[in-house]
Amino acid sequence: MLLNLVRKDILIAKKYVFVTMLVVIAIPLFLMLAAPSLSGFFPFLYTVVISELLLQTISQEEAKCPKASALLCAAPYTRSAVVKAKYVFFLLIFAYCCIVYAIMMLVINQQPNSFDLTTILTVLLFSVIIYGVYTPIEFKYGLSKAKFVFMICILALSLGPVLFANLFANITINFSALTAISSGVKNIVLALASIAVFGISMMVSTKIFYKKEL
Amino acid sequence: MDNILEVTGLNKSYKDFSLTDVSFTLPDDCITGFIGVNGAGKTTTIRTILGLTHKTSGSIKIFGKDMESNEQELKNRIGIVLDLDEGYFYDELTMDEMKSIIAPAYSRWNEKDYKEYLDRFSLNPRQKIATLSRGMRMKFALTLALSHGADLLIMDEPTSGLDPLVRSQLLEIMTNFMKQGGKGVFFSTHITSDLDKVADMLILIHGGKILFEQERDILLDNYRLVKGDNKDLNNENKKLFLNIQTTDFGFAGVTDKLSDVQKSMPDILVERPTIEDIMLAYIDGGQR
Repeated sequence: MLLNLVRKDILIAKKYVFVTMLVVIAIPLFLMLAAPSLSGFFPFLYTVVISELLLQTISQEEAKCPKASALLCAAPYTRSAVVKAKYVFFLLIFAYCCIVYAIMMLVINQQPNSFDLTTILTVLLFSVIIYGVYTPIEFKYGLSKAKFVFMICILALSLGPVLFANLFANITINFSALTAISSGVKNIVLALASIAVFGISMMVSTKIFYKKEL
Repeated sequence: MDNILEVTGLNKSYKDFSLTDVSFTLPDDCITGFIGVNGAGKTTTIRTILGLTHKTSGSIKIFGKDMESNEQELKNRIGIVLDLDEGYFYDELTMDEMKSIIAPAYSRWNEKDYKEYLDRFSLNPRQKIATLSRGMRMKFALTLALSHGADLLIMDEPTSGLDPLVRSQLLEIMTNFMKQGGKGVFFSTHITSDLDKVADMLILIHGGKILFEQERDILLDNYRLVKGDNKDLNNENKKLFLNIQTTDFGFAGVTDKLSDVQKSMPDILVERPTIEDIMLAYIDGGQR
């Protein structure tokens, strides 16, 4: 039942799915060619965040047919399945980005080591936080208000590094403690944090959608 | 006769409207017309029955089972045609794509029935929903509703805005659906002429309250439309009518006390009322 609802999301955004699939290839390709030193974390994070825009196009299409979710819920689809399908779709996009990016790193950059499990899990945590905050807001307040959250996140990602560098120019933070932690422990912490944020966000969205008048 | 749907003490409050203690039952093998003017509470009641909006209190039982605790099982047995004005379909999809979303939700989906209904309604499954006329949308909604072995058909204003030919096709489909036995139709409308032909039971809602629930034939037998001269009306005999409309040429009123009226006014014209006459009489009478 859940997969049928995921399929529904793909169907209603089918015009954009192909474009997104190309964008997921184009962004890292451009970054790898333009700035080869930027391999690993940042190009992958940008790719994931931009590709998650596809989820917004689904919401836009849904907004054009405001009562369609009522028809689904009047059928034997549960409200919780409608919410879960959106989160499953998010994971599918992330998985697609991972696979494409890994192949590109191998073929073009030939630096497979810079795309390790820790990078994947770190980006997963970042994107889960963005999506995990965005989605309940969208369920509660609608697409237009939720878009502001997404725009702020994109701006933060774009300006963040420069802003932080300027703000904390005089402060030295010792990251040696972090580097001392084994990658296995780091990966477990990142994975657990992602699962926790993902789970909490899904629960909150389900509660909001359950109370909604369809 | 078993009850297919039992609504008891249903309450739902909005800022400017509320359903108040709505109670009624739908016996099986009956087409039940749910009538009322626009804004009377028909759609809110249907949406509450389907769990699309949450009730404040009350109970809803379908096939003897509580709707809240058996939602999926019961929805599997309900065919739905919701108000066609409100964008219940994804317009950018084709009918086949829309079907591919809806069909897997139903355990008894019958592809053969689906194709037969499409053929019968001359619908092209590869046509985009956005390009469908209102009548075609209704036919497609009905195709989806009738292709999964539903036992109860719930329709919200399905005939509104449709031409007489499509309306008559819909009524014929409903009649055929009922011939299978053990089925029920709950059909909201403000076009009561449709119900003159097919409804077995009638429920009138107004201002969020049920005004009557009765068999159509008994209702039509109980009431008479009386026409006469204004000079025959007095304060006493006016009380015998549900409502009275007067013009310079005379009065017309609906009554269920015909013999008393005839005693008071021997020189009157008596006609059989339509469902609309009775509905308006109840609403007008309630407001006065």
